[in-house]
Amino acid sequence: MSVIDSHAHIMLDSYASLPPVEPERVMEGFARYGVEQAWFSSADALVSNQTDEHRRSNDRMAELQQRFAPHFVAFATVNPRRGDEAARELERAVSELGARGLKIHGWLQPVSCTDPCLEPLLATANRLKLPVLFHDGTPPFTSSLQIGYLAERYPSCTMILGHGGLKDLAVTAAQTAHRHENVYLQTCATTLLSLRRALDLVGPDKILYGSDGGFADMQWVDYNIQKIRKWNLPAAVEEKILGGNAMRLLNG
Amino acid sequence: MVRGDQAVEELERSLDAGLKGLKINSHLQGFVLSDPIVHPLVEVCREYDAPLYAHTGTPITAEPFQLAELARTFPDVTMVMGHMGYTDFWYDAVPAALQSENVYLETSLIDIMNIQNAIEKVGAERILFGSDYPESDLSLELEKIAMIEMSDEARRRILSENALEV
Repeated sequence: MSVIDSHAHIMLDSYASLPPVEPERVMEGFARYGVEQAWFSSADALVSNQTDEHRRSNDRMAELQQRFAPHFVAFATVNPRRGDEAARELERAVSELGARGLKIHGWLQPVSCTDPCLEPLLATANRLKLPVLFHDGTPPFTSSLQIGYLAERYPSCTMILGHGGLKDLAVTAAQTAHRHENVYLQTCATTLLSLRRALDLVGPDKILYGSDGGFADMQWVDYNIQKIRKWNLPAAVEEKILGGNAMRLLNG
Repeated sequence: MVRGDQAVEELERSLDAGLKGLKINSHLQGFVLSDPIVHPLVEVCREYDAPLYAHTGTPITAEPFQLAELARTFPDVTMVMGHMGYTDFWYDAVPAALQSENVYLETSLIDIMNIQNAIEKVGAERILFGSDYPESDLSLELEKIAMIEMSDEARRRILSENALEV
């Protein structure tokens, strides 16, 4: 079974107190645990607010995507508060560099998912039919229902709830994915009990395995895979969650 | 919790019957963790030498520093920081534990990196294994601890000895 990790990070520069991690070490770590492909965004770029830094980061992500193809899929980062400037950088990252998605982290960047400054960026993602991976589950900027509001406004854009509501908003994350056809859930940081409940409501086709891994502790990838295994799902459902759904989402 | 004397009486009755400690979940029960409303119950814990376990990680009523504030008010009562501030208050878990020596950190749900950091900064002698079953899976949480490099003594302490002492 091919495992696709739809929520991974690469640390090209230091991020807060965390040092950078060599991309080779990250890729070896994912391979060690049987991950065929991972969708990466730059963790350090999420805390930058300078467009030139995002440009450099997106350039480096494109290089890594080419170097580690097909195992490395690059998601772009921009400063979402920069409106049209952010939209232009996203367009460049996709059309010139080959980025396959956009990552928005509302509380790190920081911007509320309901702030109108996001409109040019999301309109561009919508036009490009680009998946957008959101950190979710953290009030006041990134609750799952806020992202559901965006999903209604940008229906051509697949919106991924990066943590399935984390712990305390897991109920609303499942409700959001149930209500909106273009909203998917990821499994990282959501508890097994919440995932079981989400599966009942959302069904097996819109839940994506993710680890949030790529920082120093690569065993975290293994932990998150084991979490899915311990769900004791029918084989066909487990295959969808561990990779099949992600493959369909990215390749149509 | 908001029933004052009735809550105190029920806690005393429970501890007299052999229960070992008090669990509070302030975000479900509807009060800020450090609110004086909880003080009469903590006084009962002190009287019975019983530990207090508190869920943490949920703003605005169940944050690590709120538990530390309560722990500093009652330095002779052992308090357990459930989930180490999982999810978004993991930044605060170790600094809050360092504010008050009677705070222990509990491992369920929180990630490996933060447990490693807690071992390094707070010490294995103040970390307790927990599973949060059935919210999580017991074997999964045990395997998480097994993945962390540490001395045999630290592992024994985290998995059982600290809890037995508490």
